[in-house]
Amino acid sequence: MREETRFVLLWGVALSAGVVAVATTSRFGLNLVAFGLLHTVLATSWCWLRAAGLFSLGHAAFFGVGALTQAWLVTGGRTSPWVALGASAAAGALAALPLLPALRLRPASFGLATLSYAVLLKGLAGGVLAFGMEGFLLPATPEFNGAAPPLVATLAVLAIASTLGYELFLRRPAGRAAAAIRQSPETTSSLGIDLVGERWLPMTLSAAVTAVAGALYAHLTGSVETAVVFSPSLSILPLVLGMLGGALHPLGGLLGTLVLYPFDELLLRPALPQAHSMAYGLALVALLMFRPQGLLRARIPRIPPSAAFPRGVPHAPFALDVQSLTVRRNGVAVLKGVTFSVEPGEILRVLGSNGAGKTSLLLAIAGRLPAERGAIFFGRTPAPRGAAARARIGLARTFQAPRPFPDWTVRENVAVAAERAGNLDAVDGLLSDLQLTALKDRPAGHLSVGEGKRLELARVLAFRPSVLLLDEPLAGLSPEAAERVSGLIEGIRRTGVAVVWVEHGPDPGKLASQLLVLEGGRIRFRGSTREWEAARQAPAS
Amino acid sequence: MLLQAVASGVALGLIYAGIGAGLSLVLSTGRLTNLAHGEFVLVGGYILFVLCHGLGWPWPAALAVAALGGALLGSVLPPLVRRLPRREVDGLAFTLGVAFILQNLLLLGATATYRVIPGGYWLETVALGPVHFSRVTLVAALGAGTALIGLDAWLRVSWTGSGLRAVSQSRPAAASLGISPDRMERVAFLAGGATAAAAGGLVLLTRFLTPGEGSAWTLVALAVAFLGGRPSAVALMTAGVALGVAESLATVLAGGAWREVVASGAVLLWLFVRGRTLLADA
Repeated sequence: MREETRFVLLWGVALSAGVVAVATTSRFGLNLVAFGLLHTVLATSWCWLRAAGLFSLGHAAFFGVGALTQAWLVTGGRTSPWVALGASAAAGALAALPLLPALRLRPASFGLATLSYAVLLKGLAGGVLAFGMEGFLLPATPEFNGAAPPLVATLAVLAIASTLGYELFLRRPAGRAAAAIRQSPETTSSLGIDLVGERWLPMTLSAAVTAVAGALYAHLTGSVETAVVFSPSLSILPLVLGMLGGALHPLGGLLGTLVLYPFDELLLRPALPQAHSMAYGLALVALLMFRPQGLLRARIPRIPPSAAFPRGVPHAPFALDVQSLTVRRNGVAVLKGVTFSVEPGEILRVLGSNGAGKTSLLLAIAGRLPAERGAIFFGRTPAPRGAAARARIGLARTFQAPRPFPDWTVRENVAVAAERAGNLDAVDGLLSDLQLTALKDRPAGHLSVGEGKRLELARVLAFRPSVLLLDEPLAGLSPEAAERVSGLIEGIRRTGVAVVWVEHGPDPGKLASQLLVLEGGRIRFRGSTREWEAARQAPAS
Repeated sequence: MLLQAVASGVALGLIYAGIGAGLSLVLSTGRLTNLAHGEFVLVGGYILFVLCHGLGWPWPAALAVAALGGALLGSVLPPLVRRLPRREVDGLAFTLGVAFILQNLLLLGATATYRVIPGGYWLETVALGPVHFSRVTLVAALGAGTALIGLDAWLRVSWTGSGLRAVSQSRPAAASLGISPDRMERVAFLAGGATAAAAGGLVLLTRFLTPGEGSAWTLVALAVAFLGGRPSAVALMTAGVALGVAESLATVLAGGAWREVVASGAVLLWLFVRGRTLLADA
């Protein structure tokens, strides 16, 4: 089914059900519809975060901030409810700011951070500041008096806008970046996409929309208590509804609400007034056991075949200069005073046994391990901090174990890198060079290790880097494939790229301009291949 | 007053360490952040309440039954958790669902009424130099401390304990030595549940219980487990006492509302400072 048809159909069902409920049960029906729409807004805005690979366990933080801001501004007739809604949205967005450092975390850690943040805000607002401790009673106005038609209409507009906004987000470059981060944060950083920068937008929008929902809730119930609007159940509710419908689909929140909310309100609440919300726990457990992806399949943003949003520019060549680099991992020095430089058009082969420091060297150059001492220069400029910043000026890397974007096809994996370098025309040629044309429409998560290695190489070549870091690109390849890949690396060297090529074992290969042999984190040898062979053959003195 | 606050914080912190111990064990060996841990604590507390208050059992016997109940509850999780496709994230959502179910079951069974053990001999205060404690607080704190030392000794000395520690460091390496990671996982959940429920019993001895308190206890357990870093008596007691003293001082100096701010702030701070390393470093 086309997305547009699905959108119209599902919203048609939801609004028709709402009209029937209002027509048949009047005031109760209007309340039912109002809270149903409120649940849809909450669930959809929660799902928005999942699109960026985040998992919130504390959306009550934003809901509470919105409800308290609205109640505080409107009580006493100081501010119009419409103006206050804008202020509540802004307050929600501001409340998301302290979570910026958490945007680097993995989804589970982010979830725990939001869980703690909601409790922290509840404690600060209700207890420490005594803000809303005794509750606010909101004055009734013609538009905002319980489930008054204008308020229900506002909720309907917000619910439709939030699903539409999610859909539009997925179609924009920001949505594609978010999808890339969700699939593989490390690979995304290696393409110059900043995790915090790209996750900030969906989080702020989600927080603002949730805050507006909180503000409308304040009018819907006519009163606000801190303990209620920050309660954990308001964090769990959108999570359950969103996951049930399908968190990676813009209509997931709506579908989850349509399935569970009427069942709870019409059957369970009358039967079990004290413990009716057990249905949400049961639904969540059953969902994770039997259909963890939710009722609707993920909407994967596709990478366009042509440059619909040209953003990238080719990278200018520069030399890599490493000076007295010392790096520690978990308190142990893994690199000790390593110095070398690689000019454009040179290949530096790095050799060494397991634990010699080869991968640590690549991680440090890529910006994933901080240097304790020493410096790394790109040309004459100190390398910027962070993996994404280094990638943006032309550093690319492959991973020892392939890390593709598993939901995207092979072609899309290469195109997303090509798009960043304004190089989309080269995608088909690269797929052909690496014998990936036959696999181009296969999801990259279904590739073998050898195919994944070739895809890694295609991705970095499409990125047109200035400095290329290769982590054992030949490991696991057949002799023919290894020969072919070596030829491609030689080809990219000729275009003026500085290559740092790590391989396991003592064989320097044929293509190295210079060799660096590491042992226990120190340089054991640095020089030409001929010098290395002579050194190996010389009798130990 | 400050000295009394610190002393009360130390006693409270030992109980907190007991609450965090089970979660720490499940976190390290079971690879799961059990968000239903606070509800496990409550289940233990309610078992103790029913047995002591309803049936007149002596509390040490009731405490043992509470631990058994917690162990049974913990043993339910591993086969279910193993079916989750992405344990790290799905495990959070799954245990949140379990927490919600348990919370509602407690509401159905025990209502939202606050439950306390009636006063008497055990609630009388005793003076230890310049500071005062109720007898029951001293017993609960010492009980938690003793249980932690026992747990630590079990982990260090016993065959199963070394298996748990091996699996927590590397499942493949442990499996290559003939240690079954799945079996150790079951043991961790069982011991974690028992510890949580026993700690819940100690909580009931010192304060009240209500079904809505589960998430607050989970947060305390998270703070202790994160700050402690590993399931060892010294690490957990240090973390628990630090949290207990900070809470106690904040309450005395700034008011009771700071209690949950301290625990949530500790978890948040830990995630911001240390959590960055949780991102794979490749």
